[in-house]
Amino acid sequence: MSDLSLQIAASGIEADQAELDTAANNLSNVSTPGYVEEVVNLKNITPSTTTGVGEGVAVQSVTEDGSALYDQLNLVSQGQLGSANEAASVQNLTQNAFPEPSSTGIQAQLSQLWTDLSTLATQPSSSGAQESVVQDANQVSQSLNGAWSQLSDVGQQLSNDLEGQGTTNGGYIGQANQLINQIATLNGDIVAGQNGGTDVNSLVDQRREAVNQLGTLLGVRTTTEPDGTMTVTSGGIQLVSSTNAVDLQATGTAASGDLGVETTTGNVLSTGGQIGALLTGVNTTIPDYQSQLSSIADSLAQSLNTLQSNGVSASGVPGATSSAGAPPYAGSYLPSIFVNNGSSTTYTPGSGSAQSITVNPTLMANPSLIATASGTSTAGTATIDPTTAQAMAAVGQASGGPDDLYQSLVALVGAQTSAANNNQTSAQALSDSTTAQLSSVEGVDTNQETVNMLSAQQAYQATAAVINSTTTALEALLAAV
Amino acid sequence: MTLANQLSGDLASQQATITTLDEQLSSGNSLLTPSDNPAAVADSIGYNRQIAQAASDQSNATIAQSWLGIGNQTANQVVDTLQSVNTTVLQALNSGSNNTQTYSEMAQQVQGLMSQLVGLANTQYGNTAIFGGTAGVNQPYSSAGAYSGNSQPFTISVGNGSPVAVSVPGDQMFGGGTSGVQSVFTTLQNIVTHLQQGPNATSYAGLQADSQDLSANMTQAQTAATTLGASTQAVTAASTAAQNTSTQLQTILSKTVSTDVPTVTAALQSDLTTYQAALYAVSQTVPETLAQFLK
Repeated sequence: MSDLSLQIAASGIEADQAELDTAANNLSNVSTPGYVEEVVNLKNITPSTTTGVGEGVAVQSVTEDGSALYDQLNLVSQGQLGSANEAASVQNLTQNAFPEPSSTGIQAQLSQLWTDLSTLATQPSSSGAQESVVQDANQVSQSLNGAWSQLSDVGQQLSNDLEGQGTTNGGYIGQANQLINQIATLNGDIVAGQNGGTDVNSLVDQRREAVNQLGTLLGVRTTTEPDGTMTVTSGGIQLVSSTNAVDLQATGTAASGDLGVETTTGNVLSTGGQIGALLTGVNTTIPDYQSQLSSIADSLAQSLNTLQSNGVSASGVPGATSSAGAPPYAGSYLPSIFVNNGSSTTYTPGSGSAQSITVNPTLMANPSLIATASGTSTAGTATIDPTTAQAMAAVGQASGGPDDLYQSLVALVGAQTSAANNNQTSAQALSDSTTAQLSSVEGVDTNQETVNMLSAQQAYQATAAVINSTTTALEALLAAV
Repeated sequence: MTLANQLSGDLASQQATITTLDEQLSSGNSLLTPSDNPAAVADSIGYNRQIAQAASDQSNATIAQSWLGIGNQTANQVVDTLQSVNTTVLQALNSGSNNTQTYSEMAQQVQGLMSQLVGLANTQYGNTAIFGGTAGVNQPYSSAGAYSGNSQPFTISVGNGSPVAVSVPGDQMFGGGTSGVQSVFTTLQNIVTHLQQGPNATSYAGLQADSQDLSANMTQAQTAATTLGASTQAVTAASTAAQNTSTQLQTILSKTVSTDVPTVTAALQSDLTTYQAALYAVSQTVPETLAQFLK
């Protein structure tokens, strides 16, 4: 009998020790990412005799006090936060190409061009005024080229971030592949551990953390299979199944606006998370802004080129389509003001024209070849008629003209950036709230653990007292003999 | 842990607000990037465009006023000169004491006035002849008074609406061309010719006809001066309008983009107070755990 009570007490001591150890482990992992509070599952040992006296307690298992629902919610919110963070970062980078409000930006340069054209109209034959206008036009075209290139550079930088060029961590795709393979390996380790009867809680924690990181990068869904492995999909494509991992690779290019992510087996992913937002920025936002910059270039070049072609210069050189230039006139014509880079004659509008717009080198070399007079002037005769110069200066106030278009573009960039920033704030708030919920459900509650520790300590002391009492009783019995 | 996370999130967001307000105060601008306030940034671009346009209008108006000032002054001198010629012609017609000698002296006098008039007709603003119309010529009148300009006035754009004519073409000031009035130089040349003939019936009849021609020339020059006067009023009005527009827009722009110092300072003070209160709350709350009591 005394032997049994000592055994019972020993089992209690062991159980209390397990409780204390678990509380200690929980408290030490308060800040460990992905750690889920563990609980000791105890079970009383069924009496083996008919007397009905129990035979103590056994530690059945130590399990995680997790919640699959909150895990999923957290995974979704991590994907949204990753996407919102990346989108805000992309928007703020593209916004740098539009440094407004400013006294030196494209708007100020356009205004300078109109002012100097207006001044030229008051002195059409002044070589200084002609030179100023040509220099202003050159400045505007270079700024349009510059804004275009800056956007292209952002696209290229994002593409490098994705593919890992110039980085040591392999970029987003490299990180994703590492996580995918890590999850597949952990799946194998967890099954092996379960079969071998060892504790797999820490492996499950590691896998959850890896899945969360992958979710931030890609936006993923998970399913836990009956055998304890986790299947991971993104955009309907399976990335991890049991111990099989599918690697990702980049497809397309930023320059052609078709950058994407596909599996090495050729399935293109429609991704969320950081990568999804990055691809939207590279393939949609940047080309859209560039195309609108080109609309500005087109409006500017076409308005001024048409007026130039219909006008006559102060020295009497006619534009190609002016009345003064009609036969019998057989001399040379005024050059176009704006041309596509590399051409000396024509300007072709198009979505890429902001990249190529440039002032005609012929005009740069000889600014007097700018039309200032009406097309009905006489070819070959000097004139100070300012009609065409006035019409050019009025383009600045034209409804739907280059200035209007630029103003709208800046408003659009500002609104989209502001929306992305607001979206980031709300995604952060959602994520904070989800994390808080998750933490209250799965995280280590220090107060609760402290109470657990105290109660285990008291139980330990009580059980120790049982041993003491049993020993005393035994000694009393032996002394009586 | 939840409480600590919440508090640290609150502190971070308050710190971000304080940083933004600090930037606004130190830069003097409430708008630093388009996303700060997209509508206000777009507005400010629009205001800047209009301010630049108003400045350009004002600068053009100043040039137009110079053109018109010189034009008015010259027109008055032309009218004075023609009046001197008229006085001489009336003298030739009315005085009984005229003889070949006095007629010859009068002819020289008129010739002198004529070359003076050619000089006035070739008046320039900068390097541009103001009575040449829009023809690109420096000297629209030859010494004999032949006109090589055209009939279109030079215009300058000074704001909304059509450009304002800031000159009268030479033919509308001095006759000839398509104006329907005989060139004043022809009239003066005729007077000289008739005076050189000495007092006789032919020259007398000629001078009488010349006197009528001269009167038509004087009327035309006065009309031209009036036209310039009307343009001057239009330019002055446009200049004032541009000045007012510019002032109003500067005020609105300043309200849109500049930091409202009293408001931002008050907001900053209030945020700093809140921030300190939050810090105090954190210092009081975070250490309060059960473990603290169990020591």
